[in-house]
Amino acid sequence: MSRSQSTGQFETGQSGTGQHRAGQSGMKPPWRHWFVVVPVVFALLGGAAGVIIEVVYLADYASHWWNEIPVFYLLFGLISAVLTLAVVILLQRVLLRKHHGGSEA
Amino acid sequence: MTMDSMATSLVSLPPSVLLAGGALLIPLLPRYFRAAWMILLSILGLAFLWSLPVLQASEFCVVSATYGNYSLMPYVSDPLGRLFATIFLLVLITGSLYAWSLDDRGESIGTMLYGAGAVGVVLAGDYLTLFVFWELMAIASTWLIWSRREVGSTAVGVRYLIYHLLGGGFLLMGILFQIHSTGSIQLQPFTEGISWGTLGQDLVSNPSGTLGPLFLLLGVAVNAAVVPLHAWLPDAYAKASWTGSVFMSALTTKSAIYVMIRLFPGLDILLVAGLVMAVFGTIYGLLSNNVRQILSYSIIAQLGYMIAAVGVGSEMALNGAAAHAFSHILYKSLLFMCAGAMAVYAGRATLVEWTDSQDDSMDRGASSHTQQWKQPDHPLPWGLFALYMIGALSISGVPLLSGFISKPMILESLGKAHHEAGLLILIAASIGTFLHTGLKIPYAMWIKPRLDSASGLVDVASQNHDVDDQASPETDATLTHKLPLSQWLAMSLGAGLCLLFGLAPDLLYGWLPYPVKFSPFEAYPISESLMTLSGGFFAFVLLRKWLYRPGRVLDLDWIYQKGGEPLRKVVVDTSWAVFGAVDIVVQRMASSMTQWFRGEKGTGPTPAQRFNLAQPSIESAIAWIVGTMLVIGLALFL
Repeated sequence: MSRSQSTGQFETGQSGTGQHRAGQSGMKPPWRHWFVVVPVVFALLGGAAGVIIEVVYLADYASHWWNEIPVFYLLFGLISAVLTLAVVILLQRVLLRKHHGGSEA
Repeated sequence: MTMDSMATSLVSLPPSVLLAGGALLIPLLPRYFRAAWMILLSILGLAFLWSLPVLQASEFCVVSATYGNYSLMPYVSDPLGRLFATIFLLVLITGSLYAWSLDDRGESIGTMLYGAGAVGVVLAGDYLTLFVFWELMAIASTWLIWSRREVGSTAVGVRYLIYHLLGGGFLLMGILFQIHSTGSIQLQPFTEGISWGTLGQDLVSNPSGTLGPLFLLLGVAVNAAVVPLHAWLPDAYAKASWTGSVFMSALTTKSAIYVMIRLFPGLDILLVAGLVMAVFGTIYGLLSNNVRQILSYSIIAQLGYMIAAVGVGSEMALNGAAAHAFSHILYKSLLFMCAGAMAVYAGRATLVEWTDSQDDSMDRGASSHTQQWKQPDHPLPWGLFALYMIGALSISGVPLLSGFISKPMILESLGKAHHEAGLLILIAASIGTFLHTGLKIPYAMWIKPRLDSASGLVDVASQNHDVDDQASPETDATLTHKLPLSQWLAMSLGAGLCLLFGLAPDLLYGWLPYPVKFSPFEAYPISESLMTLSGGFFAFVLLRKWLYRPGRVLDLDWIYQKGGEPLRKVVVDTSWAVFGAVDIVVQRMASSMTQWFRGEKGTGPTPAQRFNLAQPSIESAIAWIVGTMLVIGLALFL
């Protein structure tokens, strides 16, 4: 017997199918693009704002050697994140133990 | 006694004593008054703390006492201690509000004692007071893990307690060596530090003077989760009670950071340790699949920032470490509160789970599992998303939020000290923090389920699961899919504080131990933050598909566990052998003594008759002898 039946604590949606749940969420397919568009626009605007600030206010700023490189932090952000994620994806094979059946500890 | 002197005495009451005393009254209070009482005590503690004068960059001893030849300073008011005590009391307020509907007297008492311990540590002016509150903190926080009352939480609590008692033991040894070396119990910074180049010579020429700071550092490093002494943190914080983890994320490690700032400013090895922690915490945060575990590794990464700053040791760096500890408590407690709320809706605390579609291949002796996204039990609300993202963007160092007012201060202090490699490592770690806390978790909990739901790509098999199938330490049977109003209020208060300090950094800067000559709202830090985070976002978009893998991440505790079996054989089996031998010897001695008492072997009166003991039993006789031996031994020892 499921806990939903025995205690009623997980009463809604537990016995439904995936399609049923998809209907419950009330999301129409066209709206799903917003979940992609909005964060991308924010990230583009943020990056662009950073570049504009650097070009306008920090043209002569030279505290470190990398300040000579235009949009260094944009490149550094992208490259270091790609490298970090690549390392993590490789390490998954070594450091992740599969945990079968349901949730993991 | 006049009213004025009474008021002065009341205000001089250490907040730690107020909290500890108040904790003792909790069993007498009805359920819904307990949280109110905890909040009231914390507010009173704040009021008492802030009504005392504070001398900038020097100490003002509020309460003093003597113990033998030593003068105790259990309550010292200085800017650094007051800053840490303030944020500890603030998190006790928000955390108690979050725990308003908690129906567990023991956990409430444990929480207040834990808070008392943490506040006591940061207001202590001497080693003995520090040690007492340090141990109170260890024991009370263990109770918060055991309060979960789930499979595995007892074992986690025991491991946590062992770690912290070991750390406390190191601390005590350091204190004893320090007292032996200097004759003083006052907390003083080790201005000369520990010279690693001449450590061997120093150990021979001045063992107490060298071992004191070494053991103190080791004891503090355990609580500060310095890699490789960190394994207790993700282990315990992911298994503590949902409310307990909010307090734990704030108190233990940050009180250790306070002690590091106080005792070891400028110790060069801390810079290296901090950088290692920042990288390690970031990578493990990205590897983990459990929300609270990701947040726990993120704590290690952020502690790395603070410890690196302590290693730099300049006034700006120490200000940065203290400010970052303050900001970190604000947003991390918010994130842990949100993690608890996520579990309420999602019914789990993991991002991705294996479905039960198992393909057994008998001929190969292996089985394969299909990785599928399991929809949360209920869609997570957007209000929770907004609150979570305030915390996540704060920790990522987005301008106008609390993380941005402290992280650039640390980065600038590294830059000014010409640690350019360290500076770039910390910036990379900051992007990694954004990747796991700011992108990986919200994508899995809010965006991906809705995208799948809208596309009709919901995993049907996983939706038909029986709830009993997913019973694990992460699924709390007491959870329902409704979040109490008090928890919404607590999270909103936490988010509000992140915004407040992010928008008005001078509020925090005015409380820092040294004068602040830094403004985060300048072109360079803003431009750096926006560009790095933007670059990180697009890297996540490119590689996110390969980032989500279920499973349990292996940490360095795996080495302890693997090494545990041989160690168990050596230690436990040897101990059993020794105890067995002692047991045989004791039994034979007892037997001989019994015979001697009864006069079976000897002649004449028995010892009992000789000493006029009325009808002596064997046990009382043995106890009498052992007691006499103990008294003699004690007399000889003294």
